[in-house]
Amino acid sequence: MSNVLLSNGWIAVVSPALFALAIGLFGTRTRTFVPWLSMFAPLTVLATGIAALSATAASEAAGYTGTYLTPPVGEGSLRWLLGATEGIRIGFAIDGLTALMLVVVGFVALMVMLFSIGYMADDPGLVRYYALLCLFTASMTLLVIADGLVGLFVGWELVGACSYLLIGFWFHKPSAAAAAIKAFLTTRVGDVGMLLGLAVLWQTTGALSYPDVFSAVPGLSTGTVTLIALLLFVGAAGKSAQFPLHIWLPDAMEGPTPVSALIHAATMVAAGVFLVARTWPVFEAAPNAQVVVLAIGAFTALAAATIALAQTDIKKVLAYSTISQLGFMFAALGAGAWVAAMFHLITHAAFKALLFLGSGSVIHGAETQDMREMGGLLKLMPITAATWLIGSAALAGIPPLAGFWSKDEVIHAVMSRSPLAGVALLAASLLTAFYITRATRLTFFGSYRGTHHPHEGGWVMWVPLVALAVPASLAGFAGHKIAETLGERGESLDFTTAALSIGVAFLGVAVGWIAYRDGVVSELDVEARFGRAWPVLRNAYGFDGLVSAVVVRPVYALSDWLYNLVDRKIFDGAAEGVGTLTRKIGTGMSRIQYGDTQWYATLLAAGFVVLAVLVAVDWAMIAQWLSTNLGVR
Amino acid sequence: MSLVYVALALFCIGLYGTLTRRDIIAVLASVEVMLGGATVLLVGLSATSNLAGVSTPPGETSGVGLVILVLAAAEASVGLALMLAVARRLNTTRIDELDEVSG
Amino acid sequence: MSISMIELVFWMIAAASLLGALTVVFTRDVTRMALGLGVFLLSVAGWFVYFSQTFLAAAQVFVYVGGVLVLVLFAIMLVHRSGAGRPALESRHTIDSIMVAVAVFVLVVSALQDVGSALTVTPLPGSPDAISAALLGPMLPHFEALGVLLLAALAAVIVISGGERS
Repeated sequence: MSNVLLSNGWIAVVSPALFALAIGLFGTRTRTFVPWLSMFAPLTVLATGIAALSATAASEAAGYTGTYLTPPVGEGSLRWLLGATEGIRIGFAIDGLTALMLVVVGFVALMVMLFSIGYMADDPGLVRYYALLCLFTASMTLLVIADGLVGLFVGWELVGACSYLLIGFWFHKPSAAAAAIKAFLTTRVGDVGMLLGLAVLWQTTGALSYPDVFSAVPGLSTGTVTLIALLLFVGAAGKSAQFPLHIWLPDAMEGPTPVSALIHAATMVAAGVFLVARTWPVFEAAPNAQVVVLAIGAFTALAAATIALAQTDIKKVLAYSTISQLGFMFAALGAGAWVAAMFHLITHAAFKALLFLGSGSVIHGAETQDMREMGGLLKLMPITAATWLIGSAALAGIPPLAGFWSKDEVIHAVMSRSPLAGVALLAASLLTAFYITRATRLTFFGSYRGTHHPHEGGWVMWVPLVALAVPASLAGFAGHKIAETLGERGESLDFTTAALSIGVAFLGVAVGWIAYRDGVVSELDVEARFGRAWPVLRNAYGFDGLVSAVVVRPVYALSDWLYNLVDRKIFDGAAEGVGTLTRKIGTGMSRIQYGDTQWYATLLAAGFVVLAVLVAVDWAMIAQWLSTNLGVR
Repeated sequence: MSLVYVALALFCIGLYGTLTRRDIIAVLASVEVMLGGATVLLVGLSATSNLAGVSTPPGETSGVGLVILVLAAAEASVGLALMLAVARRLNTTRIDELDEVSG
Repeated sequence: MSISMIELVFWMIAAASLLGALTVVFTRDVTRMALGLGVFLLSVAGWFVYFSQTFLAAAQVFVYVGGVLVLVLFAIMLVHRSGAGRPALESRHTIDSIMVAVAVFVLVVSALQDVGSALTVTPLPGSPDAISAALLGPMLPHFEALGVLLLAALAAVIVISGGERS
């Protein structure tokens, strides 16, 4: 069974895509079955992932000298765009990294689909929603399973499209439609960079599949490799919402909350990290690019954490938290610890998906996203609260939960590379502990401040929470296993860093806990105390305004100018001019059609004469006569 | 050669009438003159010429003449019928008043 | 300059046909125009006799003088039955049309230069036997097509001149 799945890895891509197609085409007739049917899509992916994991564990990585991280347990490809050249190889290859990603994608997608049954129960667009989720699963699987950058790029663009469609799922809401467009356009900036990177790769190495690229990299000059690495990183930064392309992710929270959990926390936004890890040999050869990755990652981690402090929307807190955590991963990548980054990606996928689904449960129950209208939900929604506590503790880095282990590895690696960045990450950890405690306190403790009747959703909603709570608490212990799956040796815990980060985490939690004691310090008091700083943080440093002033408005102005001058005057003018000219010619010509039959007959006879003369006259002779007698040529 | 001159003269006189006459019935008569001129030329040349040493079989000369004759008769009767219909409906037989297609 | 008998006949027929044609084209009187047409059609029959196509000449007299000319006269009577006196026939575009007609004449005459010089003196007579043999032999398709055409013309005339049913 597992062998069949692995040697035909494309099934994991094709089957969800077929589900998406079938549901999209025929789903409306079997509305009630659609969610259950859809779950076969992530199940295929999960089964492939698990089979791959066990196969990877069985195959001894020792002595493997190939270009993959571990010996691929499943491989296959075909050539595409054949022509004068050998074409482009497009296919799949499953090694340890891919296997891990398949498990993450399959598991989170499955949980999200289950959760959505409750969350989206009354939505008229249910069928479209599930079709898109299946399509997303297919695309994300393609992204991770591809054996080259071509397949990855196709999946990359498809997940972007799915993200766009799902952010704008409630397209009748203008804010959702705007957020979808913003997300699409912002990631497009990154995608253009990535496409340029692929172009440079193709130009310099003539290859785009991983083995060919990796074997060609040592032959390239440092400058070229740095350029390629930076361009790929631009794509990764766009997808993973790193500064300065982070602006789309907070707005993406306009989509349904389970979508935020799947796409904008666990899988798609992690694709940037996956890309860098996948193409690690390129980055390894470009130390300068690593410095850029490290700097941007650390900066993003810290800045996004400060913004998360002041948000009142529970999803916005989680969105900025996601940006911050992705910053952690990129900092680790920049420090060369890509295994730590992948470790953090996996734990983060677990606890952040848990937190997002928890927030979805809260939103479903309390019918608001504003934390100021929540409070005291611990008693009203005990399961959600318990799982949320696990997730937030994992995020804060409280041992022995998952986040602690991976974050510790990240900070340790960064600290040894650049103490400044390490300190920044420690500060970000402190803030992380603080803001998640604040969110927890505002949401679940104290007394209820809203006007609705919060309640726990059905079992379809709390089962995924519980299921996700398991890896969120235990995944940390799998660090060595994950490292081995990736073909590396696991790091053992560094006690200095661990002590520091535990201290920082507890400090943050304690400060947050005390600062937001119910009735003692209200949100308004905090705002008053911090004065002008708070609104600045809440508005994310006004970066949106800056982008709008520097990029959006000039583009609009340019578009207006082009529209008014080039389109209206030149193109429309030309098109309308042709029409006007034709009409005028027609009006003119119609004057000779004045209905005088005899005049027509006269013209006919005259035309006959003219034609006959043209035929009868010996032009060649005349020409010769002219040239001999008058010298005309 | 005189035959060619005379027959073409008839044709061109008919052409002139066709182009200038204002009354449909006169136009039709002029068309008959054109047709007559052409028929005379055709039958005359067919009967008398032996271009390239080949002369037309006598039966076919008359045969072609008959074909033209019948065609012309049919044309004349249809033309006259049209004229009658026009005269009855539009109350005119003047061709320059029939200008409904004028742009 | 002496003129042979056959040449005299030629020129007499030519004169009659030209006279008839010019009358049709230039007269201002409807009846005279019909008369001119009659003269012209008869002279065409004369041409056929001149070329020894006697059967064709007889057919011309029957069909045209006996048929078409009567038809034209009927039409004149039907159309011009009302109104004071006989209406004048008018012409227009005279200058343009003369130019065009002369141009056509010159052109075609110059094109037929070679043909004119290849005429034999004595034409071959077209006897009814030969004509029927030709019509039922090599010209059978023409003959059949003419039958269809005549039927169509008959139907067309009936439909067109049938007039409005009240």
